Amino acid sequence: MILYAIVCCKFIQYNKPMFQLNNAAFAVSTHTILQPTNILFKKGVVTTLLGHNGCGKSTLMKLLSRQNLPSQGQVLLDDQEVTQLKQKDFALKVAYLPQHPPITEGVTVTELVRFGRYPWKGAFGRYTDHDHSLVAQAIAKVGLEGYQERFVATLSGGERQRAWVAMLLAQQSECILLDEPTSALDISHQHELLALIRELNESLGLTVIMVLHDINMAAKFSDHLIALHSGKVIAQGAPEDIMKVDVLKQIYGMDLALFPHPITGHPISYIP
Amino acid sequence: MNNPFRLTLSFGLLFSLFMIALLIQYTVPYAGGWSLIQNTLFAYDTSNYKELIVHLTYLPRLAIALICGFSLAIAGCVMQFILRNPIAAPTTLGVASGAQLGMVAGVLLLPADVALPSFIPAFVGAAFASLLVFWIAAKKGLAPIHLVLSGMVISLFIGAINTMLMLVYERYLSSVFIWGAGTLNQNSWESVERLLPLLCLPIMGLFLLQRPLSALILGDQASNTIGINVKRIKLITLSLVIFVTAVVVSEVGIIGFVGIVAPGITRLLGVRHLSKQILISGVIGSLMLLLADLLTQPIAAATGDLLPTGAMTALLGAPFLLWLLNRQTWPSQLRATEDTAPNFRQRQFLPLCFALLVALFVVSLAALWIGKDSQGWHLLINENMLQLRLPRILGALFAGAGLATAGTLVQRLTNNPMASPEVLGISSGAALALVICALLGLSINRYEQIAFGTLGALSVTGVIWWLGKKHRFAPAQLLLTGIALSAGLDAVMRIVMSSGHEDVSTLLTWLSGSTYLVTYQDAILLGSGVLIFSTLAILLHRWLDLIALGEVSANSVGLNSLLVRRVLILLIAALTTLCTAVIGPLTFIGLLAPHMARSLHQNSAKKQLVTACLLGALVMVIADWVGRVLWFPWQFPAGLLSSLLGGAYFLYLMRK
Repeated sequence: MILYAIVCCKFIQYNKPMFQLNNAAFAVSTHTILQPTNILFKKGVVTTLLGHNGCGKSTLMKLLSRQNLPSQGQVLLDDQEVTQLKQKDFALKVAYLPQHPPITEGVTVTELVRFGRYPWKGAFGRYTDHDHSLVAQAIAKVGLEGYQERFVATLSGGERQRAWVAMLLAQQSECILLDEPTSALDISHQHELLALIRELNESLGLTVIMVLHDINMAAKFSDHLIALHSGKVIAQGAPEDIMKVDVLKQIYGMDLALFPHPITGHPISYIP
Repeated sequence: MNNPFRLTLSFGLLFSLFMIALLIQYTVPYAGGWSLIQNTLFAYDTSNYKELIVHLTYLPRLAIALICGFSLAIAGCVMQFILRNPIAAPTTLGVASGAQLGMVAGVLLLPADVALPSFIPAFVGAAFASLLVFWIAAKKGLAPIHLVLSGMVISLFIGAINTMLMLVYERYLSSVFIWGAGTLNQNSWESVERLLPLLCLPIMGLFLLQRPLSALILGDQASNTIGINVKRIKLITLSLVIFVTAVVVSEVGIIGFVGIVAPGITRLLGVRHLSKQILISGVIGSLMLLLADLLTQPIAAATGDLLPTGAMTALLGAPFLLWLLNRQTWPSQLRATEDTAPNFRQRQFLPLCFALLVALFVVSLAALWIGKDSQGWHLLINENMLQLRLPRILGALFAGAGLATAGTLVQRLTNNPMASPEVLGISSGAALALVICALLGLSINRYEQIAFGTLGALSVTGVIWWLGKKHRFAPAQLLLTGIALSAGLDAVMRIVMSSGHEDVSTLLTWLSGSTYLVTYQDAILLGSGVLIFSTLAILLHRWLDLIALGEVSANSVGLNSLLVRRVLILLIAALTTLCTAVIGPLTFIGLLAPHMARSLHQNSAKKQLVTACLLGALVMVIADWVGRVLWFPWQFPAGLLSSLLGGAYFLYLMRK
């Protein structure tokens, strides 16, 4: 009976949407950037937004992270309008990594990652051993051990990006929003970061919503893909539904061909 | 850029042109109006004394106003572009104070029978100050931040020397006061003839250089890769800009505001290309100065005073800028973008703190017991000295600590290394309240002085609060509001100062931050206030660290930016008000103590705050003591000497 209840809870929890867009649109003066959109972002799922530049991906991310408010419609987080949450409560649920994290002067890696503990402790709460160990773990997870006392401004682009991801991890929110997290990384670090995010998603049930440009990476590491074009959702579904020649042509406006991965058999796209 | 806004501004432009035409009609000598000008221009008759007067005084004055406004605005535009800071002014790199030093030295050193036009010593002084700035910043590759810092330090340093000389040789230097406030009075075409060739060539040079210059927007490294020698371009353009500014300042004195505001208005109009920005800034600048000067003339004629146009510019420009700021929506974040030279180092915090504390203690004891009188140096350890000297030492100590805290808060809040507590105009408010009291002939005692100062500061805080509310206290808007307010208030003050009122010299002492009058009660009031607010600031160090991430990321970790900004503004206002009311406005500590703390490698907010606090207190106590013994029996205000001593130390740090 108890087991059933737990399963039930888990079931319910995983089927409730994290974010829900009800007819949400965004416009700057007369120029509509995002058409009225209805999307559900499920809990515990890795969702990736696809589309070419200027299709409205970043705008959608900004609506979710409440940097922009929809010009019409609603954005709901756990059935509650995002604007109703206090800043700190929102931060406990959602962490956001901007596409270009600001350059921080005179902040060390440890200090940066520790900022992630702010929503839990506020301005005056003491950082306990628990917090410090979480910070250390987050740094270890992104592979920056030995860099703890280095200044973030002196790191390379990829190291800097990983330091910021570590801050997001230390924040321990239910959902993380990543706007092109791999743009500054080389191929091995891209893979490492996405594998890490996938692992966190599987082990902790972390909800992930991100923007990626590499369709193959997106298909490999996501449960759900959403494709946008001129501010409209044109396709969404599991990777195998999107990885089709006609859908890809629709998304990117060019011919992409597919071949099966020699080992896994998953479709891989390439430029013919 | 929305159309209604542009429309309003176009109307504004038309309106100002109309105003100028109207004012010219009204201000022409002998009520001659436009017809007299017409006669003078097209049918000049030397036997008509009216036309003679118009030809020799009125027309050159108009020309000078146009030329100077144009040049200053262009200089400001380029300066803001190169230094990548919207609050940079043509005089940021030390030109004004250098020119003033030249004037002062000219009056004091040159024998009276050498009839040199005042232009030459002023220009030499300005050139000297600018060269000094370049020499100091060159070591760090002329990065914007270093140029700005060394410029501001040199300005403060030389400014302090000037004020000290003025305090000592007050009688000889009253002409420098008037020059310092900027006068456009002319009595021949000589100045125009001198200025035109001197200004035309460098301005043409600036236009020729605008293409490589506009590529600098990519940042130093990117510009280097597309084949631009950044250092050389910067050096050449800055030299041209400084030359232009020095020429104008040497001829007509310090005319502030035009150089900051005209480029700002141009950007608000949505002009993006650098060459257009330069040109339009120039046009706006010349219109602004002309309008200000035309408005000054009837007022000066009515009151009989020699009203300086420079002060009037700020007085008129300030409300306009405030209006403009209120119209525009501002990006909520202003990063003074720069390529930072990543040379951060870790340095142990506690030993440094301890060392500073010990130094502070030793210096305080020395200041208490070591003095100088007519017989020379002496060491006195007794009760009397405690009564006599302890209050002023405590006053200096706490004021230093308080302003250092306020300065760190302002710089972190606005993310701008040029910001200081005075930038918000709070201390100008306090100063103006007292100046008005003096003007009205109220002889006020110490308590009333503190009360009035507080009242002035609080009203300015109220205005800042009211204006900032609409824009969620966005840093960019906050800084410019503060600049507008303080420029306007300072203008009133300069007008009062140049009117030669008898209380001026007492005011000059107070305005330089003096500790003579501090009593035990004052020290206790100041001390407890500074302790409470500084402790609060240090407790809030996590906020201060987080706002450096920018609004997006700070919000993402759950910081309520609006609340943080509100609390910080209140803290800054409280600290500045306290220190200004008791000691007077101090420029140096608030600006440079935070930088000194950083240069001692204390980067995180908590460490920076504590270190800046201790440094501020230390510099002020030393300054107070040196001011007491340096030139016995004269005393110099601690604020002045803190600029001198702290400035010297900071320059050493930068050049090291």
